Amino acid sequence: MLTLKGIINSERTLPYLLLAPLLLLLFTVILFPFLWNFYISLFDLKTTNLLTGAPFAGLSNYLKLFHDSTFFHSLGVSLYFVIGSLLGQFGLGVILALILHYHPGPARFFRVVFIVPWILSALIIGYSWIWMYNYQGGMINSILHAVGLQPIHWLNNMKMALWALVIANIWRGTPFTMLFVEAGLKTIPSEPYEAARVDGATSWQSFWYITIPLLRPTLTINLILTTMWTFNLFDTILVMTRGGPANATLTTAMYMYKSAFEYGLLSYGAAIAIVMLAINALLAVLYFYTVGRQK
Amino acid sequence: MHMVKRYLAWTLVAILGLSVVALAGPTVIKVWESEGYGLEAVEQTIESLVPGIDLQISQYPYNELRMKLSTTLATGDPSVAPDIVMVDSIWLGEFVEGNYLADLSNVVAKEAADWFPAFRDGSQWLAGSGKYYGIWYDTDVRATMYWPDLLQKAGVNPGDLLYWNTAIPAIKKLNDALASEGIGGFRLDMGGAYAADFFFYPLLWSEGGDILKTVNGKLEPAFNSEAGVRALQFLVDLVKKAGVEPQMQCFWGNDWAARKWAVYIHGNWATSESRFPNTTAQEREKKVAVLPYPVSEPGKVPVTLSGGWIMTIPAILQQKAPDRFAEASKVLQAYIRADVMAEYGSALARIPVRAALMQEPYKSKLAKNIEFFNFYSELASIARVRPAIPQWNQVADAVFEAMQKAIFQGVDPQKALDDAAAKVRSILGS
Repeated sequence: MLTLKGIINSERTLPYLLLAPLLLLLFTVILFPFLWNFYISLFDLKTTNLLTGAPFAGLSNYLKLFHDSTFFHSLGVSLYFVIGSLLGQFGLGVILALILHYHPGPARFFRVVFIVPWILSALIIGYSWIWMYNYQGGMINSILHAVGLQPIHWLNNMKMALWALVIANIWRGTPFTMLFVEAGLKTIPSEPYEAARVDGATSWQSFWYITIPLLRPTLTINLILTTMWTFNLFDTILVMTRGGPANATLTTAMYMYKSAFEYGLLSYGAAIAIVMLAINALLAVLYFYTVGRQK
Repeated sequence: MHMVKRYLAWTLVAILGLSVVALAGPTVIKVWESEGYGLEAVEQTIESLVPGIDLQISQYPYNELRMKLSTTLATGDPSVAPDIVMVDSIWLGEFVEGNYLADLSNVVAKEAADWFPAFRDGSQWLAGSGKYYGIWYDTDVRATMYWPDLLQKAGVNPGDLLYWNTAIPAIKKLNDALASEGIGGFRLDMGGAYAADFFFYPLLWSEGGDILKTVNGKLEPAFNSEAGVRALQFLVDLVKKAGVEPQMQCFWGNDWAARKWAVYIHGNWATSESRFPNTTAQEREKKVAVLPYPVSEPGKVPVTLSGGWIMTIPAILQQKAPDRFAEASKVLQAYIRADVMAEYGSALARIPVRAALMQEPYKSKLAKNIEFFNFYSELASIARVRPAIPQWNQVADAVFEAMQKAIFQGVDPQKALDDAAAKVRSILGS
């Protein structure tokens, strides 16, 4: 007879039972919103027809996207934003992690100092950088002025605004890579290094042939997370430029926000979100097959 | 004996009835408004005018109010809906098209005859159709404001700010003369689509242009007219010839009030007590001065843009809770009494939207607390408003993009506006 005690004690059902709360949570907060978002994207839902009902639109929102020059422009902006941010965050993060790892004494203090940008709210970061970029009396232009250089219109200039955001984002994101990589470095055993030293390997060879391969899984996960976060980032941009000047900083995430919440085009915003998800998934797969593959 | 029993019975019934009413308490009227709006200022007056109600006023951040209202009313459940809500005037079309707002023609049309034309039409959907979906409650006006002593120090005559050709060299002179003190000559906001509200649409209207026009019953862009090009060229000249540095962050008049700028085109709130704490209207009038918008040549009428909030009732009450709708209508009618509006306007220094408040006994009450009252009220009486169409945010973004391209990228104003017009045509489906 099937009893509760029997089910609980069954080796086949127990794992599922234990997993059930987590699966339910994942379904509620991840899978259901995703499915609902996709469902919405198949209609023509706007703030003006929430009550009266939105007509079924099939894939027309997706087709419209492919004819929307602003959408493609936003993809281009996102590409530059992600690449610029990744190069900076990753490069600086790895260097800082190595410094902290090999200098454990001062690391305790500097780890706390370096982590500050990561724990600050995106809004505070945005406003702080606006002040620093201010044309008249901003910290950065004051420094430029002090060394005899001309001040720069950081956020007003269509060519500079995106790079100004990239710098702010590097400042914010580097601590995460630093901590992540440093944690990865701590997991590498000392034996391979000792063996390499016995074999006469230089420091550079040890780093290239031992550290990097053993760090590969850490680096892959870090790259995936950083790429996704950067691609999806919009709060700092919202505060600093709102996508301007003249859409020069209009990333895809920002365009999605504007479409859904400023223009009231809820289905169109949902379609952009689905395309963003697909791009994120594609990038993750790409990373796994390139950076993350084990030799 | 029989009669006595009957009286006793009726008395008991009456006592029971009254007890039930007493136990039920006052009728709660839920009012939603944007953060800092301030209907609380007349809360007690309204409660005394409509006995048996308890006003519960909730404030929400600007953007949150719009989304909260949409999502709440979309549930179709009157129990979660507010009784009265203040909507930004540019949201009216979106909310009426969404079937969220009640037709209030029977509630407000009679009183609305006293409203200035722009606000009367702007309370209707479509504008000027005669169907009221709320009533414009108060407004603001935009104007040129300046520090007379700073102009004097720079040797600039305030009258030079009235015309484009004299304003450009005057502002350049201000920039040059005041730079060493860390004071800017003229503040040009370019931080968001709102910049067009302050710096483009009023100039466009003064030049005889319009934002949109109706052709064969369809809306089409009209801002890329000659008038629009002239207006945008003036803004480009402010940057290129007068050396004005466009500002990406707006402090809504606080930095101008702190004497960081000599001249500013901004809303009337920049001269109010909120920016000059612990001062009277008369003291503020002695400190700073105001002028109409600059125009291209003498004879052109300077037009201002006015915003404001519309007081309305959700449609769902009219459809599913008629008793609540009737009560909310009574409260709304109390709110739009001239004496109540004067009390509200006076407490919060808001510019009136109706002619009655320009007459005594209300005028002196308002003028006591609102600096430059006559000037601002006259501007309001001829003000123009933005079209409250559902696609307004997209249109505003397209126009602002044109401004940015011309000002930051050096794109020819005609081309920048034509590109924006093509975009707007596609947005409007025209």
